[in-house]
Amino acid sequence: MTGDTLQKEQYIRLTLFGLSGPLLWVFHFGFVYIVQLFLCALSAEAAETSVKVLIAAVSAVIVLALILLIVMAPELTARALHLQDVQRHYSRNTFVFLSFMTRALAGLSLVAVIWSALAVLFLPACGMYTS
Amino acid sequence: MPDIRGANVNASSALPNPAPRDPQEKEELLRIWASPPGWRLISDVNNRVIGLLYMGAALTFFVLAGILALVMRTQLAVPENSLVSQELYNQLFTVHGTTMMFLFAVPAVEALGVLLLPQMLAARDLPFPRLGAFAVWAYIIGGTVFFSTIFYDLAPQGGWFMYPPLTLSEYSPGNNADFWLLGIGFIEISAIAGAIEIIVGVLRTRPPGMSLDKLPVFAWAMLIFAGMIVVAFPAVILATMLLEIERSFGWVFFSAEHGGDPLLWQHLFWFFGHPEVYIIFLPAAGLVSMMVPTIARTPLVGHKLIVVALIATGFFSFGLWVHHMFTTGIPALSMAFFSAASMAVAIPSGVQIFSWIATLASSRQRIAFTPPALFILGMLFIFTVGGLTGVMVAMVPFDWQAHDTYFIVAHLHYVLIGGMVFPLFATYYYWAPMLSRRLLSERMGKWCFWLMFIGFNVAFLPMHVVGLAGMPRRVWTYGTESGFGIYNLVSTLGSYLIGIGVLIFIIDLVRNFRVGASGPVNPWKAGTLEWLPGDVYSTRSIPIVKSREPLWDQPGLTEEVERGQHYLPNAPTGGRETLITSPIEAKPQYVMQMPGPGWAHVVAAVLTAACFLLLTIKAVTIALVCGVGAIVACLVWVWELDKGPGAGPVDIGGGIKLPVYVPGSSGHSWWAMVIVMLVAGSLFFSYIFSYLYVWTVSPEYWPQGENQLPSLERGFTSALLFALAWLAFWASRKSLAQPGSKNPLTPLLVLGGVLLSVAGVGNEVHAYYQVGIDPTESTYAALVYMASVLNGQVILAVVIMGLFVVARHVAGKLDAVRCISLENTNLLAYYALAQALVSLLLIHGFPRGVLG
Repeated sequence: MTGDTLQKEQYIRLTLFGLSGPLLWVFHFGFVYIVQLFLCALSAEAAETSVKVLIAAVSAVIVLALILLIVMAPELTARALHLQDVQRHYSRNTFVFLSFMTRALAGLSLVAVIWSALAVLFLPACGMYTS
Repeated sequence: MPDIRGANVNASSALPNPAPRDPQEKEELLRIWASPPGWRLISDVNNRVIGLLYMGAALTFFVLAGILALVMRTQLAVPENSLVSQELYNQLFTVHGTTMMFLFAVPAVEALGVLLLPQMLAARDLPFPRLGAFAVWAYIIGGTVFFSTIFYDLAPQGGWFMYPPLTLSEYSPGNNADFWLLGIGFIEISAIAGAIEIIVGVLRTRPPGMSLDKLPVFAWAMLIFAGMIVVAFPAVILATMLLEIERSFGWVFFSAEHGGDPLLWQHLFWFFGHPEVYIIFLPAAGLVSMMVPTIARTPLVGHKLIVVALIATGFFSFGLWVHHMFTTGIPALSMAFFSAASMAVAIPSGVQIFSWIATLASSRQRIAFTPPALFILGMLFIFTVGGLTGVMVAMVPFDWQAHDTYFIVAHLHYVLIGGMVFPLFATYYYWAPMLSRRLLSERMGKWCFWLMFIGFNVAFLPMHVVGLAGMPRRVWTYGTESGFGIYNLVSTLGSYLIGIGVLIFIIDLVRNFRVGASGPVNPWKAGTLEWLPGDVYSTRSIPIVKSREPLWDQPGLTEEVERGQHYLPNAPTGGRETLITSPIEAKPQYVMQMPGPGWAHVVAAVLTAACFLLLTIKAVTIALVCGVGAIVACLVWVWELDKGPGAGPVDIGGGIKLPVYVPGSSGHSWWAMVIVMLVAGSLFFSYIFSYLYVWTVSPEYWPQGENQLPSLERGFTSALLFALAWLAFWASRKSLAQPGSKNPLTPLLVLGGVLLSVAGVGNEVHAYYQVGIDPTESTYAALVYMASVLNGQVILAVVIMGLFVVARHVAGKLDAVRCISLENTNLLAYYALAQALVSLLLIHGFPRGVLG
């Protein structure tokens, strides 16, 4: 692998890992919005249960993924930077900073995901009002 | 080949170099970076000149839009007033809002980026100075023409958000709405050009040692700001395209009777419009985070948390757009998602507020209430109030009551003026000494602050009350019996106080602001690099950075840099240049050769503006001529940018020799092209959303049988053509000859790729036509053709770039080493072909999937 390709791959991995918390939030937000929009457009009656089940299931998986990310942020950051290269090319301060960023962003995203997901417990899937 | 990950820089480096420098070096730097004299200053590209011009234009638009606000407030001062007509009032609030949002707020922030970033990063300039200058001139010309429409009764009347169906031809005949659609669409392109420059600048032109953890908060904020522009602006560009096409050619996107939906506009507009609030706020927050430590004489409390908060706000702000649409009949669950995101975004915003308060509280000295400090304290109060009312309107039931009332007018002004205008005025007072020989007057600054602060609260606080009492927005007058009169009179008096405050600031500028480098160095005793002594070339040498506040933590740095004891103290290539460093650790990678003053980018800006504005008045032929002229000017401008590796490698000091030409993913132009692809991708994503959204609204307008769909065979033919084009572009890079020779196959492969791409799009359009799809009949049909329009415009760019590459081959400026122009063309071609393939999947696959 050339230095150029290695560098490009590192940046992509680092960006993806570093921003994985907000990216998971984006995925969750897009998923719940699109699932609700499409399933309700196809059949509001049939969607009443399926929308809620789908959103609850995906929310649970994403919450778990975010918790995992918070716990494993340093390891993931090290992988993104290619562990064997960390000491040669990256200072400890950079590594600590990037790990903290990954972890804190995942924490904020966790709050935002739970906040959105809770709505399925209280509101109808397709209608305007609760009965 | 050097290690492309960058030369190692550490504390035991050979710098600072104690040996005396040749005095001729500074003379040469001054000569190379000098601005053209007299009227030829127009052709300059130096960030100090361009940044000041940008800032001056933005400030002018702020004052002009403010005058419109005063006229509106005068009209509303008493009930049943007839100072202005209803029609003129509609034009006034439309131009006021549009100017403040598009011609003041975003450009002012980009201007600060252009002006401050190179200084904060100790770079000679941002990496694409001509692109920056092009963006500024395009904005000034386009903005001036747009604003002037208010004087000729040509201004749009649809509000700054231009909702259809009000803005469709039936209800808004004439050219008024077109001035908004084409003028603002064009200015957004200029904003995107600025964003590309800022992203690459922040990531690649940092001084050695300034790793991401040491990046100034303002640079972080600008990076996120520019990233948000890249994602958000294409949505409104698509919206303006759709609405203008419907108005001009009758393709139906927003007309419900043809299966369209006016709410599609609102989705696209607010997908841009809400992040826009944070696009404006985040850089201002970055500025506050730079000023507060200096005011408190202590490092920023929670620096890492602030960076996290900026990034999180950038993301979460994209989940709020529907909170502008709570009253449009959206299902409760959907609204709850957006309500939750609207409240979640308050957390990172709150983190920043508490961090600033903590930093000020942790100061061991008495805080001096200078104008910047006052404006920041004023901002803390005003923005917090705006944030709290923001959380209130994020609650769906409250929003239903407050929607479209003066409560919202109060809320948005508390957020925007508190979140952006007050920090901006703090910025003017704080950073003026960096550019001016004299400080601005502290006495006048305090007068300015108190008048603006008191005036603002007197003007906007009563609007909460009058809004809750039921006064709707955008009314040109109201009845005496409504009881709104006293609140409006007070608001009007407050607005005059703001006006007087701004006037005092302008007088202060006229009296004291004198551009020049002989002013006091670092009068606030700040810790960041923009306070290094500098001149037209930025800093004399580019320092090694070891902390977030290097001027506080690296004693003697100012003198060392000024004596030329750090990197690049001279001009080794004999021209304009700056250091390109790695994006994470900021290790020196290569020396970038930069372009100097020129006319081609100015001509391109003038002709691009002319093209868009002539289209507004339907002078299509002359507009097309101007468009072609603009493309030619762009090609002339970029012809000399790829200078090749001839001048390198060069010694930059500290025992490091660097190349002056690096192709591939380490090159700065590769990064810029990737960002262009992200812009195009975001535009296309907005299109896919539009297509699928319209289906959920009116599925009955979609084809009900296979015979109404374009044939699959034609789709496969297009896919094959695109795949072959991809192969041709890929092979063209492999076919490049070594320096000094030419391979005739290279231009043939590039031309082959171009022709195959064009044939692929042509085949698709013909397939739609053949099956009888008519874009004026239904929104489904209009969206089908729109896919080809979007593919066609990217492929047109590939065609132009392909022909450019062929010309460079003929001129002997293309080979296996000097290959950046071909690499970038191929990158865009790969993207264009991928987009075309996805659109085939959507147009041919989705309706068949729904039909089962």
